[in-house]
Amino acid sequence: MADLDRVVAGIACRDVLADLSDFLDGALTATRVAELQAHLDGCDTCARFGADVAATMQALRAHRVTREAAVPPVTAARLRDRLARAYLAIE
Amino acid sequence: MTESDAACLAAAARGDGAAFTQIVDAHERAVYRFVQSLGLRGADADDALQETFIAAWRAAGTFRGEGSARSWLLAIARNVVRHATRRHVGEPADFESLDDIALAAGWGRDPLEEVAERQRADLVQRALARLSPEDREILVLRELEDLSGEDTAAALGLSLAAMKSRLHRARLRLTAALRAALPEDDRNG
Repeated sequence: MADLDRVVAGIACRDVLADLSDFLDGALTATRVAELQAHLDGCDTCARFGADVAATMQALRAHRVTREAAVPPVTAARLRDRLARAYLAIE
Repeated sequence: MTESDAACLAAAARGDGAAFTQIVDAHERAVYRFVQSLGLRGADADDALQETFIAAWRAAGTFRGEGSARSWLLAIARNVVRHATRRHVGEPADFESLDDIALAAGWGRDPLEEVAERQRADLVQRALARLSPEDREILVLRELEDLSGEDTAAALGLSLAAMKSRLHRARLRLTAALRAALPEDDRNG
């Protein structure tokens, strides 16, 4: 099995793993991105794993609601009724 | 955060019910969707929706504008749901090492390239449902509700660094759960 302590381009796979989310989110400095990219260019294991995590997140985001689901009318009415009492400090 | 949200909450803090109703109109669907994504259905979801906005009305004066009004409301909703389901509130201990999570997620093995996009999307939803509440809520907030990192941290009462750490682990656990859900032939390479 591949070793998380393997070093490619001066960076261990373990360290790439630790920064993977920030890398996918574009939250790293340009310098760090370049360092990680150099590792990924030479490490098939990390490149494939990173692509797999990215694909999982992409599949999850495919379910992102672009139009907000409506609250059932009865539910919305009950909420407003209760708030109306709260506004008057009845409850 | 819209300027109108902040203004409405400030007015609500002074007792302006009409202003608070604007907040309700703008955010009730997001709150309702969120409590459902945490597992509540039917009357329980309705109750959580009411309790969230009642609590928000009473606490309108505590909104400081440090995050969006929506993240503030979702943080309240999260606490309402936790109280309703009697879960322990607090940051869970992460005893599982990152190495173990990554290995379970398939680090070191061939990817799941051959899995059709639609199959993966459906399986991801099922895998999400099997995660712990803590993992599920952070993924819902960050990936599905599309809150910023700062707003996600605010909604969960975490520092930005702690949110990032939890999010990273949750993403890997989701990948691991997805792998576990695949047929044996599709997992290994």
